[in-house]
Amino acid sequence: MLVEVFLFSALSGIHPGPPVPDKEVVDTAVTLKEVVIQNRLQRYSRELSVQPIFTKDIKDYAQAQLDQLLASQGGIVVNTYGPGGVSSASIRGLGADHTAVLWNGFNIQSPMDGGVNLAILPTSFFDQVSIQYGGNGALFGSGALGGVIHLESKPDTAQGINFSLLQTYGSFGKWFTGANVSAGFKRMSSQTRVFYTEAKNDFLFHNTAKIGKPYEHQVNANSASTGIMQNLAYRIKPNQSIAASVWYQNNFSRPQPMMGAYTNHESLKWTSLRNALVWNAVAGKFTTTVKGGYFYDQNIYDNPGVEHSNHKFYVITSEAEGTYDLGKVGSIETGLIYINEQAKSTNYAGRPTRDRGAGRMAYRFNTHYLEGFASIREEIVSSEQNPFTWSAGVRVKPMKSIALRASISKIYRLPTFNELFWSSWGNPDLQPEKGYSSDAGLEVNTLLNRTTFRFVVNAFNSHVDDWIIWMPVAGGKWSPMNINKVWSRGGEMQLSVSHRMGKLNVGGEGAFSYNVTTSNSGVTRGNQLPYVPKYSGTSSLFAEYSGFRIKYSQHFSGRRFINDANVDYVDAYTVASLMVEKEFREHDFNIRSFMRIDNIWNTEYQVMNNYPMPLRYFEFGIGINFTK
Amino acid sequence: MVSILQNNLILTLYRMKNRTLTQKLLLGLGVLAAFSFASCQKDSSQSSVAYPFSNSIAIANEGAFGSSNATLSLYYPSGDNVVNEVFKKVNNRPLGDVFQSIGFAGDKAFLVLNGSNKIEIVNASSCKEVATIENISSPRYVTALSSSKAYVSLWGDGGHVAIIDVATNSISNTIKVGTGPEKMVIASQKLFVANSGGWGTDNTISVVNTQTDVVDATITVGDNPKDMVLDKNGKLWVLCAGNIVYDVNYNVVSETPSMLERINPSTNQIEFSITLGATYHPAHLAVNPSGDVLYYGGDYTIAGIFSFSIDATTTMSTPLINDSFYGFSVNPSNGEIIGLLAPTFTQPGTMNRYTSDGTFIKSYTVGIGPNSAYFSN
Repeated sequence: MLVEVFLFSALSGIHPGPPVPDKEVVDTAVTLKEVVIQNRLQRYSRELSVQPIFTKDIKDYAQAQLDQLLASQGGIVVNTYGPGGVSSASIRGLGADHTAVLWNGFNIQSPMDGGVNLAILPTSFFDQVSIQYGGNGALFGSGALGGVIHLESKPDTAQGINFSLLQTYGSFGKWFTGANVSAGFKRMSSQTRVFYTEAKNDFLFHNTAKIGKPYEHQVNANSASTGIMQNLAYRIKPNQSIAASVWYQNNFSRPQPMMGAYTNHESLKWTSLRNALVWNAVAGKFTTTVKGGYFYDQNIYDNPGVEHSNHKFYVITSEAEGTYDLGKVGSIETGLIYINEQAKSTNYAGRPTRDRGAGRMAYRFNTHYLEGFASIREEIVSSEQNPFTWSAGVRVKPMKSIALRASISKIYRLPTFNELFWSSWGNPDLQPEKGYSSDAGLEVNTLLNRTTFRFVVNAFNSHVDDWIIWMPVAGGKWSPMNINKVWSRGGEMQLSVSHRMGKLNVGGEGAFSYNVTTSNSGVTRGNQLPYVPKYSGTSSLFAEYSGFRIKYSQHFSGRRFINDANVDYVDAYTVASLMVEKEFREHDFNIRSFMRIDNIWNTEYQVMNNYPMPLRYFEFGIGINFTK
Repeated sequence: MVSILQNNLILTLYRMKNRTLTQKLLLGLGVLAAFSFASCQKDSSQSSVAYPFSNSIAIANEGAFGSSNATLSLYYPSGDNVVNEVFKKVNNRPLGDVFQSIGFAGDKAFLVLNGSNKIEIVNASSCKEVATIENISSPRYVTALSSSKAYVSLWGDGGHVAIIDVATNSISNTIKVGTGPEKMVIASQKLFVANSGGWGTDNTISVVNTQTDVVDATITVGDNPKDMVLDKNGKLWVLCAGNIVYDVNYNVVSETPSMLERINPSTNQIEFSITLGATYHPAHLAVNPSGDVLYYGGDYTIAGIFSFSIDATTTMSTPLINDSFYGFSVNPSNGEIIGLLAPTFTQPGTMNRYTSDGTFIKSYTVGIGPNSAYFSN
């Protein structure tokens, strides 16, 4: 049974595995407490290239932040400045501001710089994490160019009470305490998650920029973070429900100084409050969803004697969506979106505001062997810019275990507030970056005897025009301009296999990506973009036996150029981790203890140039789960 | 150790009964994992290459601020070749953040890293690392009094000049001067320090007695003096860039003109003064080998290099070389003008050679953000 749970818990709703009829998967999904009403990702994921992260992997990283979970996956590049520093993701060679991050369908990218600091998002707050390779402007809006990271925190709709506690301790003074209480009573359910984590991050590193290249202990990389998330769901009627989420978080960190630069004492304080309300109703063939969100984020940067800056943004978003079920042949849906963005910053004069309105329509069709969609979106931004976008996708199943899919989409990114409004340096005349992304893939899923096998291969091709870069202008100023073009192409491959022999379950995964992302204009034409490895990949092996589990993972990243000139680069690296855990049940309690070793072979490496990463480190933890 | 664990995993899989397609695939994954180790650790042994500063033109390439990608380029006229990233090639480590300038004292070269708050001291005959002076606040330029004593100007803590003991590679004392001390020139046994204003404004030259290391006099000049040279008569010429006041939006609120002034170093008196431009703010000044023609110009987005005869009373209206140089220097051995172009701080810059009358000779690729050229002998 473990095999099925292992596979389907990750694939439920998102990848109806062809080895069994779709119906069966849906049933499995329901037993695993998945949502009944599918979100947009789930509705379109079959034609798109979506990699759901195994729930087991999410559990393995419950004590960590999201950047570490994502870095363990193939196909996505996580650029981190190391412990205490900021992390961002790059998919298919495009930048952090080209990777949309959606939480329960809401885009949580900062309107100020287009980024999301993945180093402060606690993995334990998410039940599902999926990586969508390739952007889709018509379905997911501005910012979804290289890809989308989908995060889902769901109210637990199961009846009864569930309590879980996770306590870990690790090298460099890292503590994590997380708790999750959920209760379901007939029509109502509540779920509360809290966490606190801190780390000294006084790790040993090889200061390769200093004379004599000494080993030193990091002195300025400590961090502390705490947060709470409350989800409430209420079934108004059998066909009507409402759900509310509040997520508050507070973080402090000192980004480690760059080797070779002055040892400073920078610090970052982040406070965020994210509120969301979703109402769903099903009336016959109509499904209506209305949702609203209010997001507040404050970031204070301090570098004593050099800079003290304070940045806040406020985003109000509302969306109404209607879907009409055409029965076996498909469905039609339409949606209206309104977003108001405001920001206040020591870098801006006044309080810039932007209103965005968008309308979208989509048509889905299904036949026995073929399904697909066509979608359009029109966005009006502060009554000016209006990128019209469209997308289409198709999926064919010539055999039960094989699926072929292809999609194409217009993609776009609105300029960020920094690009538009930075005091005197911003350029209010900037146009959105725009282009298209196309993608084709093959999936093979089989469940033969006691072996599950999944193989995915994708090829992609994307162009982005009017790419914004900061250029020096008169008077010693810099200003952003729509002057570059970027061409990204390549492919990804994923393979996972597991096999059960009695109580023993063994398996492995491998993921590899090849990525050529080049500037397509100016003197750097043909050069690979900075920090985009041509080759990267992961592989892992695991074995499970009667509650014991051992997993060995290895991550590889090819060399990355550090600037457009393609002269200097950060060396290729490979790091590995080992995790051993034991899980057992005692009455209503499920107890899990684990130990993990990261960077097991003590590799000296850097992700960002001159920012050292820790050598070998350890973490121990115990988790208790009570269900009644 | 690496291979033991890998082999164990693979061995375990081999021992499984009834090996199936699945198991073969698992083996494949194991091999993939093992294979990815191949490109693991990198040898960090010292390099044996050596590059002398003698008979070269040394270029300080700032790199981008905060990126720790400053580099040293050496141009050897004898072979007409440029060697980039010299410090890294010799010492197998990055130079640091914002390479401001180079000074020479004894058999050592002092590489001043403004953004790293340090001076890397290397052997001038090889560029091999000797020592690092760390934790100095915003160092700018190094000037040698002798083979055992040198001065470094520091913007930090309100403006200081620190005395470097060349033998011990350490700071022996500091002298409080004006705001933003920049270039220094030794004349008449005095150290003249141009107080450029740094992040603010100043309009003075501090005169330090090199015997007592005490500020003996302060000369008031035009706003923000940045560069100084000595002419054939031993007179000190000062380039004052002028001051620009910006509002919070970096719009220019007011500005004062740039000036060229001549000081008699024996008397500390200003003998001559001329305005260069009300809205023109050059940062660099150089002199030809015979000491009778000055060149001024350069800084970020500042157009043109102008020449000025030391006997002239008016300035030229057209530049000798019409390009926007981030910095420039004049080769004391042949009078060639070395113009440095830094169009962006993400791509390598360019070194252009010109004859003394401004005729273009040849262009060379150097590091990111080249700001000045130095000649060790």
